[in-house]
Amino acid sequence: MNRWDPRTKLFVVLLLSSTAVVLDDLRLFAVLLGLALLVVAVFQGDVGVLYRLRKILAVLFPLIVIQSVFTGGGEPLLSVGGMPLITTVGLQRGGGLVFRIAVIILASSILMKEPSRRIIQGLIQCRIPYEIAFMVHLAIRFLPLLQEELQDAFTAVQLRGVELDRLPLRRRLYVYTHLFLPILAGVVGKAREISTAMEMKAFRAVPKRTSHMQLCFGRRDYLAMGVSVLLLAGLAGMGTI
Amino acid sequence: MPVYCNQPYINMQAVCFGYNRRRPPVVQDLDLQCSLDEWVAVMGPNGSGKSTMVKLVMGVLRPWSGQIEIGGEPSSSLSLGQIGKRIGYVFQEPERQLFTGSVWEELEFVWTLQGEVGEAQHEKVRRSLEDFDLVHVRDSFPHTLSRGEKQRLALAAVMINEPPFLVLDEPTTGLDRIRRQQLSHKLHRLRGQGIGAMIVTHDRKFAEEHTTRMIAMDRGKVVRGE
Repeated sequence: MNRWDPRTKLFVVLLLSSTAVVLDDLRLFAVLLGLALLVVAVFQGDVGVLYRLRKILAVLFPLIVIQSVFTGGGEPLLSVGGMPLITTVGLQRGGGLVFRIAVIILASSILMKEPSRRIIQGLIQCRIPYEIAFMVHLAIRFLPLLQEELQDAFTAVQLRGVELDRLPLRRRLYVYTHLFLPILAGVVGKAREISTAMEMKAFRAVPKRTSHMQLCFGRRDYLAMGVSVLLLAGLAGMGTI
Repeated sequence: MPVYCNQPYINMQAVCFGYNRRRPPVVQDLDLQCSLDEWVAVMGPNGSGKSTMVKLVMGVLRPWSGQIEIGGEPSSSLSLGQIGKRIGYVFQEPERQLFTGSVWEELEFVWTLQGEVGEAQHEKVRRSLEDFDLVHVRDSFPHTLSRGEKQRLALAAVMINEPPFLVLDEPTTGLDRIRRQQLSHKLHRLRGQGIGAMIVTHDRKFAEEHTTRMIAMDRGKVVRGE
């Protein structure tokens, strides 16, 4: 049984994500990614996310090219017809962006296996109002539903006899704008159902909620947070030297 | 138990499908043929595989094994759009297939995408509005319509493509007696136009009124064909 305090996990995720935003050096990003992997292993996160992260690599090259073409400066590494296609700055920024996304997703994966009740309790004990904590939890739970709704709408529009792959880009974009309508309707409907269900269970019937569950930091929580602060502060410090 | 009839438009042979390879399949060794001159009711308890079977027919799910043919062509070689042209599919929740800002636009939707809107299409839309009793809501936002109106709109939007076959998933769910009668009336008229249909329903009386053949499914198999 995983017995890390969820606040420790939240703290480490916040720390890793912030460091990913601050850093600007590919070598340090590689170290940070290694640390993120270590954190996932220690906190028994969702290792499967590693496999899914491979999709991010697909956008690496286009990002590097875009950054190289639209950002000035740097040494050209590859030029076509006199125009620099890949520059050192483009490589740095494009690669940095992919590293940042990878670290943030990897770090967040340690929260995926945490029961939502414990996350809410962790947020409450961080003095975040219950309503806000519950909303955060709902928003996280809604994300996969949104993905499902999008897929359903995409299927539905094609089953109306629309051959998307044969449409010119302009018309295809027109279809995509229309997909939001059933998705929005579905999400609003679900939100209304949840809200009714919550009211039926007397949500907010009393101004202050109490809870049987109380989270307590253990020695290893303090240790994990301390080590994380030291390592990541050191890394961020190296990045600013 | 295989169910056969002449000139099948939908032909499923030894179809096997499940949502998880480590679990037993939801649909197994399913054989089913439906022709254009018949209306078939698919009945069975919850979890018997009816909706999965419909999704397999519509190409939304791909079978683990077995063959599905639509109009003589393997469904694996058809895109969802091509299947949508061959089979009109009305969802259990019609609002899932409504995309535009007004009833009129909804009926024109596919033509607008194809850049084929002209006077002939306008005339078809006008006729469709009349046929499906939607004239009074022609400028309304589809998501604000009543359930019965949404369902008639979804049916009209599907039928305006003139598919030779129709699949209706639980069409009577949530309809009161009057709306149910209105739907019956529309379906009766469609049947007179010579198209085939498959209706997934729990409503035996409705199935008896509208279909020429009833099949029962249980645990992913056709257990009875009448």
